[in-house]
Amino acid sequence: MDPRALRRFRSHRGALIGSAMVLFVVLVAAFGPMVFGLDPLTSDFESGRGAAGEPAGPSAAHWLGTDSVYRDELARLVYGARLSLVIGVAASALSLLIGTTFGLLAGYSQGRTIGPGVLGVSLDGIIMRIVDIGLCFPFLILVMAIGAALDETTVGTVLVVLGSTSWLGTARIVRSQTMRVRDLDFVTASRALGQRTPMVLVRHVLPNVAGTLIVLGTISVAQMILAESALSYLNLGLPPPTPSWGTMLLEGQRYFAGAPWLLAAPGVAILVAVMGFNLLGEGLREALDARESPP
Amino acid sequence: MRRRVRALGAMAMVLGTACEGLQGPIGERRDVPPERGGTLELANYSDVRSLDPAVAFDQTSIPFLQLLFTPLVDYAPDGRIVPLLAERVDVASDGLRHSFKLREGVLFHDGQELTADDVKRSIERALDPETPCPSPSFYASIAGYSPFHDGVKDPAGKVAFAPHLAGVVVEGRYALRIDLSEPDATFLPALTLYFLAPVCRSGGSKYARDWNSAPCGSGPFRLQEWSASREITLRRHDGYFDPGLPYLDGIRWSLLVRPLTQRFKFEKGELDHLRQLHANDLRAYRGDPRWQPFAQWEPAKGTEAVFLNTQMPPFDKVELRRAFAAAVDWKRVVAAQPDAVAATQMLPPAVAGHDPGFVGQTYDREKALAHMRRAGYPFDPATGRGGYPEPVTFVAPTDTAMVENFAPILQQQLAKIGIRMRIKQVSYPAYLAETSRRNRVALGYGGWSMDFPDASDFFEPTLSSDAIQEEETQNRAFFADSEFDALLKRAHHELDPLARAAMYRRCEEIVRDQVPWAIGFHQRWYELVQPYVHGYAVDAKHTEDMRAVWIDAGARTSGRDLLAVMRPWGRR
Repeated sequence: MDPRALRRFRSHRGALIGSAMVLFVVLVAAFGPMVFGLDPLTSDFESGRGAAGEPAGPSAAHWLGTDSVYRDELARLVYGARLSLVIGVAASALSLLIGTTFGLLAGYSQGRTIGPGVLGVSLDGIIMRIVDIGLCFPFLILVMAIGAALDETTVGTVLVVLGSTSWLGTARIVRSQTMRVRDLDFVTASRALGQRTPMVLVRHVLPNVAGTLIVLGTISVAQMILAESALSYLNLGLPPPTPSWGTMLLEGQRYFAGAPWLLAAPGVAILVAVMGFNLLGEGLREALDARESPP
Repeated sequence: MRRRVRALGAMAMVLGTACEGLQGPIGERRDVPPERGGTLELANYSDVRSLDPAVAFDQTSIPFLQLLFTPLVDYAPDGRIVPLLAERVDVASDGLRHSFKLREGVLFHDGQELTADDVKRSIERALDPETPCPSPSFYASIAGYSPFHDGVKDPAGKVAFAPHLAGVVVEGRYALRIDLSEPDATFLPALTLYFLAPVCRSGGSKYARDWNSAPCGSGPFRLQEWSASREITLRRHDGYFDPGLPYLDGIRWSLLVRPLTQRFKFEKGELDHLRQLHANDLRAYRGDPRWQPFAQWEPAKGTEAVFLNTQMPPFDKVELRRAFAAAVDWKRVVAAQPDAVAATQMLPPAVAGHDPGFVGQTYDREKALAHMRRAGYPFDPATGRGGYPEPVTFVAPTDTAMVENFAPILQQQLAKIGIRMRIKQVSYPAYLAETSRRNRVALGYGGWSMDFPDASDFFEPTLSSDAIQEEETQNRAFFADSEFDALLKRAHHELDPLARAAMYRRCEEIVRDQVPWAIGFHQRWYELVQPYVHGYAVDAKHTEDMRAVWIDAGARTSGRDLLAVMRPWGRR
C-alpha cells in the first residue's frame, strides 16, 4: 500500500475499529472451536431447562446457555462465524471476479460496435442492459427465489447463488473506472505499441481499478454475511443442524421473552461482523481515494 | 324392525369410555347465571377462504361453519352423537336405513322455514359431481351415490349422472330417510360435519362460488359483514330453534392476526379467547396459577410422526424400520415442548379407541442395534463403524416444529445406531407434491389430524392400500398390508362398537410391528378465556365451540385493571 494511503488508513478511527472487529471475528472463527472445544451439533440433555421451561441460561458448562434443542449456544456461534466468513469471502470473491470481468469488458469496449454498420452491436450495451435488468430485481428477492428453487442447499450452492447475483453493481462501477483509465496516456501508449487487449486490461487497467475492487470486496463481504443470515433466517439457507447465525436468530426469536440471550448472541455476532467489514471498507475507501483525503 | 337411535347409543358407549375428558365449559366453574348481550372478540392468524359448508374444510373456516350452519346430528360434549337439527334419529337394526324427524319451525337466516326438501337439496348440492367438495367419499355409502356422483358409462362410453341421490328420500315436510347401500359405522360421525348441513334456498341446488360471499344457514349466528382478510362479523340469529341460544349479540373475528399480537390484545382485554400461543407465552400462562381457572388443555386431536416409505430403499426392509422406531426417544425429543405429548400409538386421546394402556412403539437402543444387525447393517457405537452406508434424507416443510425442535434431536439419536439422517426443508406445497408420489421420498414428516373422532378417520386415509395413489396420496409410507386392509374394511362396516374397537386395536399392533410410521407425539392446544367469558367449551370434532358463550358485562367493564395485574410477566 502507498505509504500515504497507509498513513491515512491509520489515522481513520473507523477503519481501526473495523479492522479490530474483523480481526476478532477471524480469530474466533479460526481458533474458537479449538479454544472452546465444544460440539455445536450435540444436545446436552443434562443442561436442563429454565424455570418456565425455556432453554437453560449461561452456566459454567455452557457460557452462553443452550438452545431450544439443548445444544451449546457458544459453540454454534463460533462455528457460525466460520461459516459466515467462508461464505462471505468466497461469495464476494466470485462476485468480484464476475463483476470485474464484465465491467472491464464493458468499459473498455464502450463506444465500439461489433459487426457491420447498423447491424453492429455494442458489447458494452449488451452487458449494461443485462446489468440494468438484473438490478431491477431487489437483490434479496432474487436470491430468495433462486434459493427456493434449489433442490438442496449446501455451502457451495449458497455461495454460488450469492456470488452470481451480486456482481451487477461491481460491474457498473468497474466499467466507469475502466472508461476513465482506458483513455489515459499510458494505456494509449501500450495500445500503440501493439499490446493485445487482454494484456492491456490485465497489465494496465486492472491495477488501476484495484483500489476500488479492494473497497468493493470488503464491503461485499459484509453484504454477503448479511445476505446469508437473511436466507437462513427465512429458512432458505443451509439445512439444520448447520449452525448459521441467521438460523440461530430465527430460533432465538421464539424465546426472546424467557431467554433473550438466544436472540442477542447471533444478533450481536452479525452486527460485529457486518459493521467491522463496513467500517474497514469505508476506511480503505478513504485511504485509497486521495481526492477525498489529501495527504 | 327399527331400534331408535341404536347406532347413536352404541357410539356414545364407545366414545364415553374412550375419549379423554372433553372438558366442560370453562365458565361453568363459576356459579353465575347467564347474561344476554355483548360482542365476543376473537382473532385468528390465518384467513378464511370460503364459508360455503359444501367446500370449506379447514381449521379456520370450521368454527364459522359451526355458528352459521346446523348439521342433522352433532357430538355432545361427552362424545355422544346426538340429534341437533333432527329431533329424532331412528336407525334400522341392519344399519342401512336412517330416518330423521326434523325439528319443526326451524328458520333459515333469511326467515324461510327449513324443511326436509331443503335437507335433500343441500345434500345433493354438496355431493354434486360439479361441487368441489373435498371429501364426498365420506358419504359414499349412501344408496345411489355412485350413479349420482361418479356417473354411469353407457355402451358408447358417455357418462350419465343420476339426477337425484336415490338414497335420500323426503317422507314428509319434516321427515327424511337416508338409505345406505351397506352398513357404515362412519356414516353418522361424518354426518356431524358441515358438508351436508342445510343451506338457504338462495344457495340453490347447485354449488356456485358467488354464494360464498353471502352464506346463509340455520345456525345460531348469521353473517353480518365479511371484510376480506380483515374481519368477519356475525350477529345473533333471532330465529334460532333453541330459544335460549345464543346469548351473545354478536361475534367479531379478526383475521390474519399474528400470535404475538393476539397475546398483547388479550392482555389489553381486546380479545376474549386466546388459543394460538407461542410456546414461550404458553409456558408463562401455564406457570401463573391465577390463570388456571380460565385455561385448559384441549385434548390432542392429531398425531405427528415420521413416515418410512415401505416401498423404497432402505426402509423397504422392515428390520430397518423397526430399528428407526426403537432408536428414537420421543419423550426426550418433546421434553421441552409443553404442547407435545410423546405418543406410542396412532390414535390421539380425543379419538375413540385411544388406549392409554396400549404398549406401542417404544424406545430401546439395544433393540434398535439388534434390528440393525438383522437388517444387515450392524453398527458398533464404540467405534462408530458400520450402519447404513448412505445418508437418508428426511423431508419436511419449513418452519414447522418438527424441523426446528425435533429433527435435530432425531438426527443425533439415529446416528447412535448408524443411520445418518439429512434434513431437507421444502415449502409446504413442495412437501405435499414430493411426499405424495410413489418412489420419491423414503423418509419424511407425517401425521394426521382428525376430521371426526373415529378411528377409521385415522387409519383409512393414511395407511390403507385403497389410499395409495401414484400422486397425491395420503399414504406416504405406501404401506400395503393385507391383514390391515381387511381389518379396516370389516371395521368400517361393523356396527358392534366393541368388535370395532378390537379390530382397530389390532391395527395399532400392526402399525407398531410393521412401522410404516415412527409415531412421535400428539400435539395439543392450550387455551384461555378472559375471566368475564363464560360457557366456552372445546368442540369434540374441531376446535372451539362458541355457541353457548356469554359475557359478564359488568366484570368485563371493571376487569381491565384486573387483566393488567394478571399478566403472567412484567407488572405484578
